[in-house]
Amino acid sequence: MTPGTHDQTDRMTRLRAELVATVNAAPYAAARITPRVIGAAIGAFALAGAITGGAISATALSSHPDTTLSVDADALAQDIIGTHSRLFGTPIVLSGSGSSTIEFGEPPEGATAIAIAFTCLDPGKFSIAVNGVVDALQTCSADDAGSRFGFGSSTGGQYDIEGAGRQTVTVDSGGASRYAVWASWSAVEPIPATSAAQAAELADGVVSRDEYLAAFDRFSACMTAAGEPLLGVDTSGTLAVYRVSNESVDAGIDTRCYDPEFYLVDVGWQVAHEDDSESARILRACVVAAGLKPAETLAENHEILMAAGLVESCR
Amino acid sequence: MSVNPDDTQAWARALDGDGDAFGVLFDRHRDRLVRHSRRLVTSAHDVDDVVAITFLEAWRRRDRVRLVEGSVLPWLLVTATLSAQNLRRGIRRHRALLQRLPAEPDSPDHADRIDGGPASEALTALSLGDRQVIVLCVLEGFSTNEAALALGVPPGTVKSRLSRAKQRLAQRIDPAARATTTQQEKAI
Repeated sequence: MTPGTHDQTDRMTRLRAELVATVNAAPYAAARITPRVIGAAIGAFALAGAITGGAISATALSSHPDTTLSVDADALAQDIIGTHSRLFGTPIVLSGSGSSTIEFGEPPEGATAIAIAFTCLDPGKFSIAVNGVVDALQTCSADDAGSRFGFGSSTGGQYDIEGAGRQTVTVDSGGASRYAVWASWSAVEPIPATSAAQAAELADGVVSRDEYLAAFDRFSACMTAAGEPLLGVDTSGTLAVYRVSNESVDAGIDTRCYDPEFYLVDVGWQVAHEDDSESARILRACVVAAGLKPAETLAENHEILMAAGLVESCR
Repeated sequence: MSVNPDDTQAWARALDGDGDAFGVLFDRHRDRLVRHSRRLVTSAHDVDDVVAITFLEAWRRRDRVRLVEGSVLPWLLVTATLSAQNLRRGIRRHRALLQRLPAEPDSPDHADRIDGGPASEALTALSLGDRQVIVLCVLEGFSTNEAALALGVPPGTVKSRLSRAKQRLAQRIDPAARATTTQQEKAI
C-alpha cells in the first residue's frame, strides 16, 4: 500500500464535502459580531494585575456566581506577545463576560501598537475590536476553555496604532462566557544598527576568513553577555557551527546580537563560499552516489537532485 | 517564486459563504499539503488529519488568513506545520468532523508508516521557527519576502533565520559527513 493513499480518496472526498458544507452553513457575514460599548462598570471582576491607564467596563456576570478562576496574566502575555517588545506603563489585566471596553486614551510617546493577549475561560464565541472594528474572532470549545493559553483558546498580537487620538479595545463574548485579557501600549524593539566593526568588515565588499571569525566572535560575546551563550560552537570548518536556544530567539536576544554584529558578514561569507561549503560537498556526493554527473555549483547539483526527486533523501 | 494560481477571487467568495469556492481552494492545494505533511508526521493517518485540520483552521481563523501574492498556499503550509506540532490538540478541536470521515483500518498497517528518511527526521527536530522558514524558502521555493508575508515577520528576520536554519538542518541531516568534510577541509 502506498503511504498516504490508503482510503485517502474516500477520506479526502468526504473531507471536501464537509468543508463545503461547513462554509455554506456559516456565512462569514453572520459570524461577525457588532461590538457594544458599555458605559459603566457593572459587576466587573479583575483576576490579576493592576488595572491602570484607562477606564474599564464590563457587563455583569450572572451565570457563574460561585466560580473563581485564576489566570497567570504574565504567562498569558508572554505566550501571545513574546518578550521582544517594549511596554509602556503597567499592563491592563481584566476578566469578564459580555462586552468589556478598555479605553486607553492617547498613545504615549514612542508607542506604536497595542499588545493584546486574550484567552477564553468558558466555551463560546468571542470578538476583539480595536477602535470599534472587529479584528479577531475566537471560538472556544469546552476543551479549549480548559487548556489555558492553548492552540484553540488564545489569540492576540500587536495591533498597530492607526491614527491619532484615543484608542479603545473591546472584547465581547455575546453572553455569559468568560474571558481574560491582558493589554498594554507597546513598541516592538528596534534591532540595533550594524556595528562599526561589521561595517568596516564589509567596506571593501569582500569578507575574509579573519573578518568572518571576528564577527562571529562578537556575536558570540554578545550572546554570552546577554546570558544566552552559544552552544556546540565549532569554527574549524568553512562555516561556523553553533546552536542558539529557542528562548533566546523568542526573547529577541539572538536577533539583537546577530544582526548588528554578524548578519551581513555571515551572509557575505556564506554566499562567497556556497560552492565549497560542507553542504555543497554533501549534495555533490549525493549526485555521484545516484550515478549522475555532478555539476560545479551547489545550485546546479541541487537542481539535478530536484529533477531526479532525490533532494529529500540526500544524506 | 511566482505563486500560481491566484486565489483571491475564490477566497473572497468563500468568505461570503460560498462553500464551492472553498472546495476549489481545497482541490487546488490539497496535494501540496499532503506532500508537505508527509515530512512532518509519521503515518498516513496523521497526514490525513493534518490536511483536514489545516483546512478547518483556515476556515475557523479566516479573519487571520494572509494571502501572499494572491495565494493562500503559504498560509496553509505555515498552519500545517503548526498543526502537525499540535496534532493531538487539533484532533480534539475538530473531533466531531474527523469522526465523520471514513474510518481507518482497525489495526495499524506497518506499510502505512512513512519513512521520510533523515531529511524528514532532521526537519521535525528543528525548532518551529526554523522549520517554518525551511519549509517555505527551501522546500517550497517561496522568496524571503513571500515567506515574511506568510509568517507576519520582517524579511530580515526570515533571512537571518534561514541562514542559520540551513546550517542546523545540514548538520542534523548528516553530522558524520559534516565532521568528515570538516577534517578534509582542514587538511587542504
